[in-house]
Amino acid sequence: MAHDDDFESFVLGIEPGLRRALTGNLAPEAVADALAEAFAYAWEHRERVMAMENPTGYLFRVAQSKARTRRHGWLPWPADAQLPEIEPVLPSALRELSPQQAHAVWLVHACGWSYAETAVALDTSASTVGTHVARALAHLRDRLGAVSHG
Amino acid sequence: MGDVEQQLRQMADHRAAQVQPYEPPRAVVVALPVWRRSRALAAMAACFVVLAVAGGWAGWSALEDDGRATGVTPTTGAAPTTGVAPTTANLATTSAPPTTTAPVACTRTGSTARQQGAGTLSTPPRPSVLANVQVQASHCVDEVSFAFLFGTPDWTVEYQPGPFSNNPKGDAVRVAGRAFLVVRMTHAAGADLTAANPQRVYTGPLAIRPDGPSGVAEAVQTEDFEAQIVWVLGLDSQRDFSVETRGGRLVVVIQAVAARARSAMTCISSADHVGVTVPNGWFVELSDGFRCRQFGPGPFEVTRVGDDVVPPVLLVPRSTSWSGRRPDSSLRSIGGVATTIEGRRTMIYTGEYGVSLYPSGSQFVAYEIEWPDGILALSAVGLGGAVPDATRVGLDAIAASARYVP
Repeated sequence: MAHDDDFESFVLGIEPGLRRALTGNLAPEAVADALAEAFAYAWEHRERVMAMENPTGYLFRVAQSKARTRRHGWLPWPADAQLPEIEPVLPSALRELSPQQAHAVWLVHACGWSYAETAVALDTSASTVGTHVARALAHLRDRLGAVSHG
Repeated sequence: MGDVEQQLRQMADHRAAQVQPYEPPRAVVVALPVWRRSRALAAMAACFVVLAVAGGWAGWSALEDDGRATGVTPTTGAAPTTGVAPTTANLATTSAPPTTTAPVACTRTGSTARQQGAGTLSTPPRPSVLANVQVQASHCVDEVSFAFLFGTPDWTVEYQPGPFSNNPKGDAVRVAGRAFLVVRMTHAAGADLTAANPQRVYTGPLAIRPDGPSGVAEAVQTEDFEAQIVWVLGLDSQRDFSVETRGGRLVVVIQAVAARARSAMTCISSADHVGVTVPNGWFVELSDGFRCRQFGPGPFEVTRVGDDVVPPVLLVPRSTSWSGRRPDSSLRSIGGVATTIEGRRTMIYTGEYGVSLYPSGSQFVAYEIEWPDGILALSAVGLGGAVPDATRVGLDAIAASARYVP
């Protein structure tokens, strides 16, 4: 049985990445609740979850399921508009993506997850993640009028 | 402003900073296993904890004992048979049109008889939820794929004569085509009805009319009722078909007519004013939003799993002016110049990604074609290395064949 200290270390280790990931399609006020749900589940099943190769991706799915927004797309936040370094059209372009594409490009690009980690989180294959990301990027670049491919 | 990737990272930084970090309430956590003996006690615990931790620890009552909703191991799709590699000439050395008229060897499978099968849904009665519908075509087959969450449903596919009606409304539904394949999926729904707030998951069109090189004239949903979904596929003629389950997808594979396999396959996007010739054996996506914009040597949604996955080739018109195009020497180098069959100038860039979503060492090839309204950009990436030769040859062919469609 995992010791309490071990579980606390486990939570502190993966919390930042999970919190960042959940901001993609949850409202600001819902992220904290989703985190609490995910870690409550993790405690309940801590032996199995802590032994996982990618517990963050798994708990991302748990949080999505508990939040009942698993397949919803990217959610704009009011504060996004306050960022001077963000193209004004980017939020609307993200909103136009399919839920799968939005999840994939957010986890891979915004959160730095690998294809394999994202595949676990989205319950799909790494190759499908690649396809979703490629499509999402093509759309975003198109909308932003980006020229650079590199 | 930075590139798309950089902007996404900045947005995530900003968002994550707005949310209070979660801190495990140790005393509560230790007590949790005792309380979780029953859902009623768990609900009481949730109320208590919400009060005690001031909102940071809510919703235990929603926990499920078996974790069924999230306990599914990611599945991988079966490797499809990929088409014959294209045999086109190098764009950089010639402006001749690609040699896409060579015969393609099509393996013929399927029949016109009624077919049915059991799905992979493991925990009935929870229905499969339709997530996406996609139409794509190659020289040999048309494919209509239905992507599902929670496993694939039971299915029956058969030819039926019209007319068709919408169930349960009863309104007449017109479907383009001369022969009609009816795809009936049971234990399936368009919305996740087990959610507290059921919402439609598949939000795409309920009638898809590919205007590309497809034998599918139209695909129309005629029913999503009482855990049954029905789509009618209108075809140009009655042709052999087979049904495959690939991961979470049910794919209806319809044999192309023989003549199409021996002729060049052209894809025209009227909206983009672009027409290209699809390399022999390659697939082209005809679904909304990506119509004639994505090409690949195999079906896109179900590509081979592993490091050798070949992402599709992307074709995107952009409003950027051709004049003044200069490669960014820190990221890319000129891989060559060429002309299309219309004599349009083309700049070819090659390079390697720095920090990006792709694995370290991933290289890209990008074509920028002088276009009346800007440039036509065409690109592909090699995951973890160079763009595969077969993809590069196909890329050359597509670029060379690009022509403006008024």
